Amino acid sequence: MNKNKFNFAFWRDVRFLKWAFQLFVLFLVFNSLRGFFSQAVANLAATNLPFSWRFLGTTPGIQVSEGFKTYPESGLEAIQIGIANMLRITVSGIFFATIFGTIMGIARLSKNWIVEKSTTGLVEIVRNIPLLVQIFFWQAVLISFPRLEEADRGQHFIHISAKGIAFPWLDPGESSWLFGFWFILSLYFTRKVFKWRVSVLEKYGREAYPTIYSLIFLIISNILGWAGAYKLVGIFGYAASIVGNLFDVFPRIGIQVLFISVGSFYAVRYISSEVKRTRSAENRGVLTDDDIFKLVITVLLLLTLIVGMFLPLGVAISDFLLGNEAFFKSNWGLPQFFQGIQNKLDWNYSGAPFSVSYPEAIQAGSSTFTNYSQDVGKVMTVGYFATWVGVVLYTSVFISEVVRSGIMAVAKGQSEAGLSLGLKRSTLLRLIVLPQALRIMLPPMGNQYLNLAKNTSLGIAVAFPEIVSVGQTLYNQEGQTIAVFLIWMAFYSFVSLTLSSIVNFYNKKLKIVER
Amino acid sequence: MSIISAKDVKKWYGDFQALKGVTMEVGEGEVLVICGPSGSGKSTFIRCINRLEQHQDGEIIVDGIQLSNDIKNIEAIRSEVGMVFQSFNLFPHLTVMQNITLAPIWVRKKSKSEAEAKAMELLNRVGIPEQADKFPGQLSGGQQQRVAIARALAMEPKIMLFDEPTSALDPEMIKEVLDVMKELAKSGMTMIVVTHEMGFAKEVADRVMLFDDGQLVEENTPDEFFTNPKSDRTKLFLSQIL
Amino acid sequence: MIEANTKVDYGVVKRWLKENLFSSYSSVVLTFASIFALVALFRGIISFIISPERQWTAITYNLQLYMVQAYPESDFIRVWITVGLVIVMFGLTWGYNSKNIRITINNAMDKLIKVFVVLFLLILITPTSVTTDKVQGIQEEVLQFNTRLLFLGYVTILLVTVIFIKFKFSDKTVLRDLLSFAYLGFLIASIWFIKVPTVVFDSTNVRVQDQYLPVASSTTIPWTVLYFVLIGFYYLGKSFNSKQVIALKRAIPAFWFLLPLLVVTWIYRKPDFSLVSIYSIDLPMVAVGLVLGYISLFIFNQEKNKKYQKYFFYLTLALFLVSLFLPILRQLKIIFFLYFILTSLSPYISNTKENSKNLLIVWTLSISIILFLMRGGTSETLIEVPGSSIYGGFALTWIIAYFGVLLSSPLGVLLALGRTSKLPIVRIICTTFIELVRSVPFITWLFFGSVMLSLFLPRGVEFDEVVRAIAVTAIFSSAYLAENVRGGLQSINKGQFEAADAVGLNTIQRISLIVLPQALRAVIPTLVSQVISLFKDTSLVAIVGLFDLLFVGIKVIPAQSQGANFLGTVLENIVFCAILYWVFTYSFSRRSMKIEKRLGLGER
Repeated sequence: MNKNKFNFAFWRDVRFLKWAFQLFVLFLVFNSLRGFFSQAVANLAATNLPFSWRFLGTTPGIQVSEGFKTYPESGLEAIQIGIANMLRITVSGIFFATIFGTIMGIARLSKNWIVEKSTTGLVEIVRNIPLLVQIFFWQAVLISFPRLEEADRGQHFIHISAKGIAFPWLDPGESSWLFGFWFILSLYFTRKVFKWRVSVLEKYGREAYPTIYSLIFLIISNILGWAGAYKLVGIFGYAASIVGNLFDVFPRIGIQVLFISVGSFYAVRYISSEVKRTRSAENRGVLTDDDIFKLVITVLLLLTLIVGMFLPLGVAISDFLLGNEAFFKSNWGLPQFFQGIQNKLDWNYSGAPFSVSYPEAIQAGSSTFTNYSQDVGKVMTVGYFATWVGVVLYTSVFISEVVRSGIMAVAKGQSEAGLSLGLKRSTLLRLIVLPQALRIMLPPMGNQYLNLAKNTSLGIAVAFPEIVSVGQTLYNQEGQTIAVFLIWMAFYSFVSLTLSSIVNFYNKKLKIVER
Repeated sequence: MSIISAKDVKKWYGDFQALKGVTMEVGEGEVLVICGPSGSGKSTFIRCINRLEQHQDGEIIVDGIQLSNDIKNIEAIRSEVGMVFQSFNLFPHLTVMQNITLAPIWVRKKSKSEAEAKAMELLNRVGIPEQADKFPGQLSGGQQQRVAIARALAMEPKIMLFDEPTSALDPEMIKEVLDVMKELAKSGMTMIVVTHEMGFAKEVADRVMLFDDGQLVEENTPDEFFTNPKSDRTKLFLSQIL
Repeated sequence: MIEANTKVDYGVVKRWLKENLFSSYSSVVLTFASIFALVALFRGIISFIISPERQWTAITYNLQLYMVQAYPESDFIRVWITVGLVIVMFGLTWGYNSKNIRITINNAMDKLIKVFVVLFLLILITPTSVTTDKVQGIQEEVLQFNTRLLFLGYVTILLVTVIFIKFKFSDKTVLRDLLSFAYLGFLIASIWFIKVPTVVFDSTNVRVQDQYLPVASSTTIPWTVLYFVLIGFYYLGKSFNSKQVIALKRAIPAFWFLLPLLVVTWIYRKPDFSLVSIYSIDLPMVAVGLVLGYISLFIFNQEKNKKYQKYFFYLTLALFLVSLFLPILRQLKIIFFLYFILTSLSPYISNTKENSKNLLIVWTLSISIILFLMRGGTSETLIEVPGSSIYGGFALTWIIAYFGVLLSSPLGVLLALGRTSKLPIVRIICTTFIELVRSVPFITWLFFGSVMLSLFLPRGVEFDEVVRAIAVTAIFSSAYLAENVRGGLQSINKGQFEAADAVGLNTIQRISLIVLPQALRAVIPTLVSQVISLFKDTSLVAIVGLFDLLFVGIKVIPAQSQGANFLGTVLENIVFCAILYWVFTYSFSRRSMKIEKRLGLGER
């Protein structure tokens, strides 16, 4: 387009106005952010507590009430305990909330009047009370149980008191990780066996018993595994130790180059595909605003990466990955990670992977109080119980709504179509209704899982040390509020991204199935 | 003096070239019918005329105004050129009356009473004055399209563009819309009509054009176009459609 | 005739039972299992309530604390004025919008019969005794045989009365609103006559034996008065409706919008203001505003001056922008801002003489009201509450919810528009903001507000903790709102945008006249559920130490050891909080379902 043909002022050009407006907005946002940031720096400098990550490496004087460790050796470890606790509740919560929610959703579609009404009643009650109130309620319920007295000392099968709920548990032996890995592998191969038998069924049209075959395979392989075949898994541990040793001698520049080359590879691939796309339009590379913007951003990002890898941040990340001293003293890099795997999966381990242990109430130290023993059985603490029950119940109510509307959306027309084909009701549900309902249900279900993950943060109200609670304790101790907030943000964003990409993955998979 | 003139207009959608250099002129008061197979670029072309789409090469001059990225010109063109869509595109949340008076009030800055009087007049003209207070969803397709014509006319445009105005209608409703369009043509309005209604073309059009593959294949008077077409492509097209 | 009726009824009942409860073997099992479970649950709840371990006096004694926390008793009249204004507005709205729906006595009584029959059955299955000491297994008889008979007698009398009315007036109809008044009347009567145990102190401030007194005995008279006020304003609203006072249709929403602002700036706060400041600042400011308004409307709306309107608009914009940086009174800045809005709107609204006059009235009213509210909101409050803000208890819950919704709505809509915009930079900024806010749980944002916000502000700028909580709530909620609105925006047909372009609307007109009305209407249900969840989320402020309803119930009352000893009465208080939250959220969601249905019918 020849611009000279048009004689109008440049500021009346729509494109100019668009970009001028955007740059103005960008300037405003950037400027106010810069203002807030510099204000924060000045304020922090005035309080003698300048921003730093150092607390992650030093030993905080805090105690975490439950988790894989109670006296963390570093701030980072405290955060790890919080993350582990949060994930513990999230994973088991998602599992049980899905089960309860599905049952309730189906019950709400029941033809039985009393079942339908009472489930709906439960849903209406739980849904309309704030989750925090419910969590406090469950805490109060457990606390109202009798206290643990001297008379309670001794071994129990299940014991409930104001201290929590104690129940039997599998105690891991030193070979537990080996067996666990074996178990996961066996699940994978069981699936293979199932698929193989299904293919036989489809190919020859004779009954091939896929379920029975795969079940037998699963049982036999695990009996073998328990008996000692788990030692085979030690190969992975050995491989990990080799990789770990390699990383130990890996230079820092290697990591930097690795990052930069991976980044450049993707950037160049993206740019070339973009250019190819526009170029092909009969030799007229017509780039829209969006295209230009994308290209510029890509190049800028690549430049930032290249420069950034040699700036303190990039150097620190590389050091961190290599387990060297970074912002704080870390021993959590790649070599340590692989060494850790080697420690868990060593073929020299032996013995039964798990043994059952029963809870026991014992004297707490030298005091007159009674406590559950930490070593045997498992104790569900009050905080865990309240958060878990609250979150699971609350989420399952919302999941029941998802399940109900999902099934209802499909059931209407499709059921009739299926029944007219002469399918049985159960076959209809399995082959026609459920696969389609699942497609509809998946995205809102993912949303509910995400809500559950975020709602576990209410554990702080009942002193359950998940990441928010631990973070708060840390900043009360160290004063690094902003750093802790950034950690929260990074962690939850990571969880959100992970969950939503899992949901997206299955969504895509189901879409393909649909076609 | 021509009111619309297009010179070598080109337009791409990514890899696909929708317009491959279209040159044409439309005189004032002229009724032009454009036909052609689907995907031939005829809709794209008339949408370029009021800048719902942007052409990427060549030039279009409407009523002496060159279409460009000048924000002033875009605003001016939009109020000079009325447009009627295939799928009506009435605003479903507004009544028929509000649909018609919206633009005169907000763009032409007329007073509400003035705009409503004008709207009533237009509704009379298209033959549905009794539907003024209904919502578009309550009207039939033919009535909706007539409201859409009234809405476009309310801006008192110099040119009216019709983008396949009858192809989303049931057969019995096509006539009522075509009647309104014929009446409009007789009143001396400059019109460009993209349509497959050959009867309409024969009866009303001053000129007929055939688009194919983004190009103007034939430009002719209706009589010549239907009885003695110049190009083979036109013959083929006519044999398929008639 | 009645006999024939019952015969048919019998068949219907039989068929109903067969279809809904005993359709198959598994259904029979399920039915009995769930009846058993429900009965057990009910008995469990009753034994929980009447257990002597429970101190329900913790609630009856502390109702005041629950509602307004430590608001001084001497200023309670302010609270009652607030409640009264709400009731007045409620009555007016109800009456004005009353649809005069009539229902038959027969139907109304049928519902009551169902309720009383269920009540009868429930009294029958109520447990007689509760275990007080779980270890030693001591049981205490709480419901004596005679008491149970007495209750059954009451219910039977009610049942008989209702059945009598049903058959006596079976074909009569009654206004539904009147029926509601009758039920409300029973409720009001019950606070006079139903007595609950409460804590009583003697003259030396020593707690004596708990006594049975009417519930919330100090509020019986105000509530009764308000009941009649409600009925009075209901009829007033009705008469306005029948006299076709159209102005009220616009005014009622405006009043609802202004009421909370008036409450938090003037009524609840008792501002300490001097008349001098009103004479010397506010009145002159109103005068300035009025003069400006007259100038713009009378000079620039005349036909010959219309071509200058545009320049005038730029002038007022410049005036407003410049005034932001000038060291002048806040009031003047706000007037300039409003003036800018006036000049941008006036060309479209004041086309006729009549409209110009109305616009001037609105203009005068709005600057007076805004300056009035500002005077109240910026003056020091005379009410002192030791250790916390004057807003507390359930009142605080409502304030946070109301202002959260009020502030988050425009922000959410803007963010949604930004996220769906074609401008890449704007889109990226909005998307980043929305996703960052949404990815992190609300509680961490509350911590951000209570601990970190002051770090990002200049030294010396300190906001009240309630204000900070509201700000964070609004920002958090706006991100969720934006996602909901985005759904609506995406549901709009592309043809609508093209049609708006083709008739010559500019971007702002297209968005405000065509796109947003349709988008918002499409997402009303999700917006309402978003508001409900915001109301529930306000309970989280208890974690950061604000004295809201939940904090009073969970921390304040269970720690009372002076005077009345309610140490450790956590369960009772949580149950009460839960019921209170539930009543409001449940009725709100029911109401929204009805509105949704009506909208669904209207659309087409």
